[in-house]
Amino acid sequence: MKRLTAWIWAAALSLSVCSGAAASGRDLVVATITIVDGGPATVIHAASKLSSLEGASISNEDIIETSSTTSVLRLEFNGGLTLDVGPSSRVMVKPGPAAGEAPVAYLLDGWAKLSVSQSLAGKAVLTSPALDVTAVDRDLVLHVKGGESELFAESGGVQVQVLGKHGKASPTNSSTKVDRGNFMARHQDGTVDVSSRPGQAFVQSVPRAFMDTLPSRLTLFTGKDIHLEPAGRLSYEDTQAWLNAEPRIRTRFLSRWKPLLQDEAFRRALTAQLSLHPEWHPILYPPKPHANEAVKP
Amino acid sequence: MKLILKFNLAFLVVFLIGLAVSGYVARDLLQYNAQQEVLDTAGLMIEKADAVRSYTSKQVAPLLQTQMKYTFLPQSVPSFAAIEVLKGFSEKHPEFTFKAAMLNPTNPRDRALDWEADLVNHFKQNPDAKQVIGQRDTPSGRSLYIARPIRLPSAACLQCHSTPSAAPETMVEKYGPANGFGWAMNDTLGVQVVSVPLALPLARADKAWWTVMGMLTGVFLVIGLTLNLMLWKLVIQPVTRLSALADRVSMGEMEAPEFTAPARDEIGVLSDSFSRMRKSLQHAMKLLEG
Repeated sequence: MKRLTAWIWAAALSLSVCSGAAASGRDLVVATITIVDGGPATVIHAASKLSSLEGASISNEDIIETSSTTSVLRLEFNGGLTLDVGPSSRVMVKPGPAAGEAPVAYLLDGWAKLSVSQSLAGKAVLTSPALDVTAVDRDLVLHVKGGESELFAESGGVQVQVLGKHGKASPTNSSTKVDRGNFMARHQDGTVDVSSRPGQAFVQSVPRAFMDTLPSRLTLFTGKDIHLEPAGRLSYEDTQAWLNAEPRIRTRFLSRWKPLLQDEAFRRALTAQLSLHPEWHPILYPPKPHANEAVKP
Repeated sequence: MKLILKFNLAFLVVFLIGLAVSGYVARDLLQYNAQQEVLDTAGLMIEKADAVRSYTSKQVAPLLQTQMKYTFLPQSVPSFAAIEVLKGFSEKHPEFTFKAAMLNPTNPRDRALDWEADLVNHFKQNPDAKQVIGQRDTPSGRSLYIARPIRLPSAACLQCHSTPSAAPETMVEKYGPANGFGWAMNDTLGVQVVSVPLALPLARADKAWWTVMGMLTGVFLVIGLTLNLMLWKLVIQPVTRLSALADRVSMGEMEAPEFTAPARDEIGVLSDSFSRMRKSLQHAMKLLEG
């Protein structure tokens, strides 16, 4: 009974959050999931947890989380751009305003392969905690694990901005060009190595599906109205990695996941870990109005 | 000398001459056919290698293009695919050896030996030549070979064989920048050679020749036996009986039984003639006695 109540509550919350987000005009369909191979993957849309489905549309700021058994999840964007997400990965799609030049994705953790049909240059194309890709000619593979990042310029050159702490450009590491076939590693201590070829350890660990030349499947889903299915309540554990992310990412969740505070379990867990994300303090404990303001009629 | 002996001597002489002539002709013919058969198989091997090469180049290599950026996959190389496929064939037919011999190969294993380089140069000098068939001495005996030229079929191949900078990094990493570059369209780059020990077609021809000669001898023997039997039954036996009867009649033994021929053939006619002569003799004797 308790579980049923929790589900009903989660569904109602999801509905209210979705409708609220839609009403605000924030949602913009930016991509389609065209391949989900292997184990399941989850989509966090606004404050709802949904199961990924091939053919479903993905909006800006949606979060994709793959399981360890997911072989690959492919997102195809309009204009011939694809993003393959490997196993055990967390990606936010188009982390930025609906209008304007948001990066294609933010890779918080795991594997991502970006393929573009024409050279993209200018603002950040693919961002991550330790480095931002600012230009890409064809294909690149980015791996983020803890404080380390690895980037392989599979075909075509890649321009990279190495970041320091808090997601700010490092004063010592300016923009770096990684030529076709070259490999760049950004280590835990902030040092950067660029080598002419990736090492065997990297080659062995690259998701197998990234090495296949897969054709576009976007046309298969054109005109089909496929919706993501609810996958239960969005818990604190589901959001924890993002709540603890670097400031430029985590601050956007203050308003997005504020409705989740109505969930007692989420609120309790968030309060318990408040030291990790203190920016939530004013929301959890809003300042009380002044006494003289309170007595005013 | 008895008739049957004369007959058999003549038959034996004809048989031996016939066997020798047909044996000589058959040996040449069978050796030629066996060589042609082996060369046809070798030619099919090369065509199969070409088909595998083309399939790999057009359909397999594009699919492995992405993987090639991580690690070099020889499976995407047309020559490697052809050699691997023909390895399976060679396991069942170890007498056939295939080699794609190149003047400037990516893999040093494929470098042409002196005699193979001569073949490449022959095809370079004779662009219209389609194949060369020949024999050569090897440590294990004389060998028969068929060679066809390898020319660059499409510009797509130049991606890996024009310059090191255009080639996949993984390939250069594995084989270095010195080998397998500078190829040009339609240039003769190497030869595909299938070699077979000459003993193989000769052994096949010998086997067929012995079979033919055995059958020929068998047929001659059956014919000889049949003719001997017929000669004995139809000619020698009745003639011997008629001769014995004639002897008895000539000795005055007029009561000797009549000779009855088994058939109305020449012996039957001779028998009738002998009976008439016997009757005439009896009649003449009676006239003399009377």
